Amino acid sequence: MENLGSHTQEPIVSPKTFILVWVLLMILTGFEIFAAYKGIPWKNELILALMLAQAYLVSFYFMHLRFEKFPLILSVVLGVLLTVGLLCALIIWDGIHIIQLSR
Amino acid sequence: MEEIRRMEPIEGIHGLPEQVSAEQFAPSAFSRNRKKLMMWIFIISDALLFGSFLAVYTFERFISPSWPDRWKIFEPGYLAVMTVVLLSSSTFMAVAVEGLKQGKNRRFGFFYAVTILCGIVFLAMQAHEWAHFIGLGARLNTNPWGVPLFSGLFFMITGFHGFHVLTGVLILSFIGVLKLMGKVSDETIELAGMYWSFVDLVWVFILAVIYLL
Repeated sequence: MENLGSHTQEPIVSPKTFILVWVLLMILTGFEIFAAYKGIPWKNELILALMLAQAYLVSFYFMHLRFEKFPLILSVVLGVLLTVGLLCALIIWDGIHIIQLSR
Repeated sequence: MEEIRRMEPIEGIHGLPEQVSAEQFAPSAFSRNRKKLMMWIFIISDALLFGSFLAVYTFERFISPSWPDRWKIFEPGYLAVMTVVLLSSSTFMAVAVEGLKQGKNRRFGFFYAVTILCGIVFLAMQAHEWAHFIGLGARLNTNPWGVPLFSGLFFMITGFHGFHVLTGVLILSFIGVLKLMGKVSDETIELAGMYWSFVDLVWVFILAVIYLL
């Protein structure tokens, strides 16, 4: 009865999954820092892609976002990404203006 | 008010009253668990805070004529160790929560303790990095590389993140003691685990945007 209000329906995750996610995270981190340090071509795009891959692994596997219902996933992921993206997009016009003024 | 009062038995320990039909409480996406939803709302708002910080950082970098070469300030190996410590602690926390759900208390206790330890190690490493950076002559308003905003933003963003880690360590320790006394539910620990993973998530973005890009 105690569990009625709680969320016991979440499936059990085996330790293998966590080990796999951890190994993936380590590989991504290593590659990310290597790319930044060596300055390989397409470095910035690669770092951003690896960053998003890491963020996906952490939020979906460690924060159990993959067990949530779709509207909540959408609210979290799209809500944050769209708001921050909009902020960057709006702020960049100001930046271009400042650069033009300083010339 | 009527609605709320009728909702209450479903949350409590009394079970579902028989006279309430199932359709009345048809599961909505957001009705799964109130505490967890609150935690998600907190995490979204905190994510927007860090998102704004990183947007400001990118903006300042965009309008500055030059930007310091980060590899003259930071060691890649040291940075890698910091990241590995934090990512591992997040993994340990997830394993601990999973152990708790399956009733494996020994596994939970071990990984929970290791999680807190990793948090403390990360804080110590960050303190050392700050000391190194301050030793090079960086202050909030000046830095030796000519762009004063870099060190100011660096201290502010990593400081905010470090404060989150410190808060996380304190919360986990506090809840751990309460757990030993048998005063917290498993759900509270799961929510604390969500917060801890979020701190890790923020570090992933800080690492890429401030240190590596």
